[in-house]
Amino acid sequence: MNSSVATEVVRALKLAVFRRDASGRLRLHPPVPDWLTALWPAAAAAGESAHGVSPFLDNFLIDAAVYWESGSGPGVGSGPWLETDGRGGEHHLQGRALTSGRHALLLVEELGPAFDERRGILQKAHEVALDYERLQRAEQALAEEKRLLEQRVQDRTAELSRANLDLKSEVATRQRYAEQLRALSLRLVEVQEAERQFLARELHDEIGQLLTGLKLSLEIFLRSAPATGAPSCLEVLEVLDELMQRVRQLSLDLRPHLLDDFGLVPALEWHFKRFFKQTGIRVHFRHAARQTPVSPQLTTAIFRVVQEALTNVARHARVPEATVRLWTAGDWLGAQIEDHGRGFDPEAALAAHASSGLFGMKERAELLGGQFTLDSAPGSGTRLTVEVPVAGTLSVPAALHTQEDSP
Amino acid sequence: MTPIQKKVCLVGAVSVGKTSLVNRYVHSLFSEKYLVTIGVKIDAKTLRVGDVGLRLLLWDLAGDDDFQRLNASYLRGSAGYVLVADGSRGHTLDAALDIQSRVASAVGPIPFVLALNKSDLRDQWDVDGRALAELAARGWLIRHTSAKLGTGVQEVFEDLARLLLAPASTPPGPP
Ligand SMILES: Nc1nc2c(ncn2[C@@H]2O[C@H](COP(=O)(O)OP(=O)(O)OP(=O)(O)O)[C@@H](O)[C@H]2O)c(=O)[nH]1
Ligand SMILES: Nc1ncnc2c1ncn2[C@@H]1O[C@H](COP(=O)(O)OP(=O)(O)OP(=O)(O)O)[C@@H](O)[C@H]1O
Ligand SMILES: [Mg+2]
Ligand SMILES: [Mg+2]
Repeated sequence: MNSSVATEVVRALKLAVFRRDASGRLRLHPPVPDWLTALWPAAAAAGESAHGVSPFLDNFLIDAAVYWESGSGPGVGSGPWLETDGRGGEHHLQGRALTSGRHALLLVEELGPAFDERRGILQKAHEVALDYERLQRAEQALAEEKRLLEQRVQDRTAELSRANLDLKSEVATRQRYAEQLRALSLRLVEVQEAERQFLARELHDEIGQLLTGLKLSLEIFLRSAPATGAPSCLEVLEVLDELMQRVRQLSLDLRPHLLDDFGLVPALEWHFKRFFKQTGIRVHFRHAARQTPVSPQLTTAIFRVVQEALTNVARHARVPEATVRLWTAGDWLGAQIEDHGRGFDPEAALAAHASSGLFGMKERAELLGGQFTLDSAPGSGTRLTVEVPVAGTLSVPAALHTQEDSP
Repeated sequence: MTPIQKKVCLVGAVSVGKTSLVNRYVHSLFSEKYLVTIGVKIDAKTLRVGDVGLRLLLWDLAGDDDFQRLNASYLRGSAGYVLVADGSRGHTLDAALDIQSRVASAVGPIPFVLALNKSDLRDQWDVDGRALAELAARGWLIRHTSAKLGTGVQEVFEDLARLLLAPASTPPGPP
């Protein structure tokens, strides 16, 4: 190549060419590019050594020296680096150590448009990589969040199903308790009734018989010896009569034997008569001519309800009369006690929990699988209705927990 | 008195803030815009450690990745280095560990400080505290830095400067 053409090429490429002399110094070969003058004016002026002007170049020259000593291969490159000149101008440079014939050459070029393009691509590549990284992180964060959410849903579901199981067993337990309570209540009523029956019998049959015997003996004694101590004996007889009367009453209060011996209707009729005598309240009794025979348990329950309801009439209603109805409809036995007295607020009375009468009636009815209805309002009388299944005595399979809801 | 001059490299994964740390430390500048470093840029900063003047030649190297691998010949003659990781990108700490072992095998056990940069991005913090504790237990010097706010930056270079001036803790071995 013509040497002036070579010079033009070197100038156009903004190339600084150094040649190593025998002493190992690097001599700058003209033309001197502008960037070199701007960066290292002293070196440019001296036209020699590239040593000491740039730490980067100094470091590269160690690799270059190794290469030049070995004297083989296509040369070594420094890779790009950046220098800033005295006026703040930036110069991207790149060095290359070569051998050409016998000459050891160092070429340093200022990187031009081709490098800018490479830089742009690299910049873009990095930005894309970083964007991708960001995206991946966001995706991971989302996946993690999703996993956590799923875990939470799973935990919650497990918790709920556990709670559901707990609830089911709780319901079952309560149901069992309710059944036990019901059985116990029934048993209590039975025992109470049996006790009353026993006491009534004892009073009537044993004590009554003894008293009757005593009275007879006393009368015989009086007849045989009328003169002796007559006044006090007559007094004793009077007390004895009174005592017999009381025992009889007590026996009847406890349990009218009519109930056991003749059934519900005669027992009720007898009770109404006695009630009238005690309270002056007349009871109108409406009932079918023929009664279906029912269990003693049922008979007792109905009798007790009517008894209690009439006691309430006497105590609270302030009326001269009341009506009691007794009927059977299908398999149901019904009784109703009605008065046109003062009336009251049933809900308030039941909520007050202050009394046991209404509760007792309600409980008796429900224990037998029946219904208890109370119609009353202040000033408009009271109607109390009890309906129990005839078949339903001890075992009532109806769902127990609905008892609370039934009227 | 002319200060002692030491070469210090900044190494780490791409875009962790090596250039930003140097710019903050040397020029008190910071830019949000990311300009990828290609090759090498060298800056100098003189500081005092006690009554010793020290001139640090800061070699800001391109981030190590598939596009540009860490060039071992650039490390030659280093007295120490700043290993940089981005606290908001946890994997750059793993990369830093890998780079550290490569640097150590190229230049030997010279002093270094780990800068966990971008400490201002607290809400995106992504480094495993246990891994850090383990490194600290290994004797690593770790600094949280923010080139953006300037926090911890001067300290990183001062820490390293002290290490550079401290007498070598390892025996020099046979001549
Ligand atoms: N929020 C925040 N951003 C930072 C911080 N340091 C650097 N950056 C940003 O991070 C990006 C990369 O910063 P550089 O300093 O170029 O990172 P580098 O490690 O030199 O990158 P390469 O040289 O290409 O590997 C830029 O957008 C900076 O603005 C910092 O402390 N906080
Ligand atoms: N026929 C009625 N007429 C008016 N008020 C009534 C009648 N029956 C009940 N009550 C009202 O309902 C309340 C509750 O009656 P309940 O029979 O439960 O209790 P009690 O009669 O007051 O006491 P006990 O527990 O001794 O029966 C009564 O206090 C009364 O105010
Ligand atoms: Mg009552
Ligand atoms: Mg950089």
